[in-house]
Amino acid sequence: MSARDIALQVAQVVTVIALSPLLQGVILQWEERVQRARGPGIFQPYRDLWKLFHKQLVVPNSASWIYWTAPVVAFTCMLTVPILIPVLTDFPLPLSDMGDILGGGLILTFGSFAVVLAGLDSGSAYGGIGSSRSVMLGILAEPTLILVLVGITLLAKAMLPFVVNHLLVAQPSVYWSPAHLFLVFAFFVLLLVETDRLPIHSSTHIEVYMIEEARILEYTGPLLALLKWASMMKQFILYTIFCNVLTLPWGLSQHGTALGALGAAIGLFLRMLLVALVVVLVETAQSRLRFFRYQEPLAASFMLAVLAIAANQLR
Amino acid sequence: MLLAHLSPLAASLFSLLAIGSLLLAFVMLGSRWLKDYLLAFMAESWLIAALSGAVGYYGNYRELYLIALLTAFFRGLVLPYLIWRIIIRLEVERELHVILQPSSSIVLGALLVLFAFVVSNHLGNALGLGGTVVVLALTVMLSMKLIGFLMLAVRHEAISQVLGLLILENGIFLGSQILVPGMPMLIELVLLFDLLVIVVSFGVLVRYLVAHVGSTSSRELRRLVG
Amino acid sequence: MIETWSVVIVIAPVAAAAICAASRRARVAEYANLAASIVCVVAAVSLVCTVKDGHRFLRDYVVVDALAAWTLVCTALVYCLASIYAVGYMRLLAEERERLPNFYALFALFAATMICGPIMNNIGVYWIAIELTTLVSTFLVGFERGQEAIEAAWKYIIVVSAGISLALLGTVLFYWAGSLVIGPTYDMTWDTLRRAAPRMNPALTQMAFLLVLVGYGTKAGVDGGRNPTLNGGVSQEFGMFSSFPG
Repeated sequence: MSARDIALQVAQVVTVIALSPLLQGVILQWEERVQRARGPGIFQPYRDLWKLFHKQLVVPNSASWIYWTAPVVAFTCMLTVPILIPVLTDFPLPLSDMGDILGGGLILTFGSFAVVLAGLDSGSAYGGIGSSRSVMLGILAEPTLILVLVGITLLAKAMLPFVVNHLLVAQPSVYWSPAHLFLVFAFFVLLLVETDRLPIHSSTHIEVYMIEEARILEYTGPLLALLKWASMMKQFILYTIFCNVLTLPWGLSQHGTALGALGAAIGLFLRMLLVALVVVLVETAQSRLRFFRYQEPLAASFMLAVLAIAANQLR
Repeated sequence: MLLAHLSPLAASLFSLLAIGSLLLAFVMLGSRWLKDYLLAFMAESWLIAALSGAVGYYGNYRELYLIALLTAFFRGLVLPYLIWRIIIRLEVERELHVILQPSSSIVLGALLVLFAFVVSNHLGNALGLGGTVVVLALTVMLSMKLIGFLMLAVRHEAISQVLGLLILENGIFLGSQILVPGMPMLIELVLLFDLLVIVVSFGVLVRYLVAHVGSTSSRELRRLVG
Repeated sequence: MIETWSVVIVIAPVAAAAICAASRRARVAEYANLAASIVCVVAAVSLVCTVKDGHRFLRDYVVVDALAAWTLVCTALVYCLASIYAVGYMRLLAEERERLPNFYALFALFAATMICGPIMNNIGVYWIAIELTTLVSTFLVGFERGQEAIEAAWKYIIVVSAGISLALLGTVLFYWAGSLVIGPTYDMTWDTLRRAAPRMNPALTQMAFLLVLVGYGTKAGVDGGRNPTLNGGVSQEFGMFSSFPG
């Protein structure tokens, strides 16, 4: 419980806060570039957040205490999860065993749940639409997420993501086993769904399709900034889990020096850029699915997770 | 027994090929277009042929090389070609009315795989071979059978039902390659050609179906129900 | 003696089928089929009288014991009665006169495969014989090219093929259970299995038996219970005939 470990854990949270808008900016910029547009620049989310924090707060008449607390709860949940997962170091830091990987999933979902309640709170029609659609997506996606996380823990027979990381780095035969590869694909589909990329793309302003934007339609000013930042951090966290725990587990700092931590942060961001490239390419090749067909990629992901769990017992 | 003394590389190769075949069976379950079925079936047959070859290599069964070649040729090329000709003659391209959506049937198939896994685990533990490739082979074999039955129940286009039967046979063939590679050659050859005969008779029957019933969808076959 | 009668009982329907296919006249076909069925009855009865223990020949592929002889008698009797009935019944179908030789050829072939079944020693070849009966009987069921007949033939082949593939799975599992005891390669005869049976794993053997039961039972159930569902006269008498393999 040395001061250095505490500093490292704080640094993990700070990394997530600081780099998540950059990741969002890069993804949006690359999407525009792939379609031969100019794009807003990779630092645009920072400018948006700055602008929102300096705007006036306008509250609807029918708002209750949920309206005020939901953004704070969501933001806090997203601050808590980086404590539990390997972001910079590959050894568990103090307070990392506060929750295992399923606990991390729980806290992520709790943040989304708070925003769903906020969407219902102000009583507007759009809030209702957004909340109900996002709950339906949650019904389809959450069991698959839990199955994928269970599959990850079964890979290493331990609940902490750090053990999985060590296992994948140390034994290439486990890395290339069918269980692990299926988990990668299942988690990739979930990544696309949870971070609002096509074929679902819920963060659009078009009424027929909007899910995310509808829930936060009533928010303005600093509260809106908190909500947007929370969703960017959720995306960053999911990418971190995908890279560090599953797909590209190399490059984490092993001794915890300051230089090592800095290098790990940069390495993490570069690996995430690789994943973002794949995500952008996959997204550009698809079109949005009809609402009633959202179950199809999620059913495929469910099937892959079940196959991974079955294949895992027989390594 | 071959399976009790497998090197880890051989075991992972077998398990990779077996799981790949199961994945392709799911692809067949979840697709609406008949051409996708055929392509997945071709790929699955080639994977099983590769598995035969691998078993023959690691177990020193020379005759399995011949079986592998014959499987790749007959099950992987000739059979899909025959079915392809039937499809073109019938001019059906996809399932028009589905009893169960592809996504729901994929989820059902996943639950069937879980069931097959529980049964095979129990059997494997009873035999004292739990945790080896044996359990995986049994799981894949049983789950491909169950998925084949699911396809027979859920699809009502004639071609899909034929392909469901072929998945059943593929599953048995896969299991027999891993579990009993020393089975007499005669039986394995006959299994291979038996499918050919089935598909030829299906071709004839399907022609009669079109001529006398008017379509190949079993929703039209409702006169003898009960 | 036993060998001659066994060969006769198998060759007779096959020869009748060849004659029916070669000559295109309905009368010749009827009488050839009838003659073959009578020969089969005679051969089966004499087999019953002369068989003692299991008599194996043709390199252990064929076994004729008491159970096989009894089954053969039943099958041959039904074949004979069905042939006699068919002569009169099929003459009523005036529009099919040109294709009647086909019917009798298929009928005789079906009887031949049915007779081959019980005398097979090897469980794999036994399964092949049952598969052949399925294939031949499908065309018999769909003989009148009407809508109901084709529908019946289609449903029949789907259900029975699925059922006997279950039986094949059970056969493979039986072989595997035996191979755990005896060794990787051995002859899949009834005797070898019976000798290895006390040492075979009970869980695996139970599961294999269940699968075989359900698989072959599907064929018997479909054939025997088909009468309420199918109305074609051909299929009705044929259902009675083919409920035997179960």
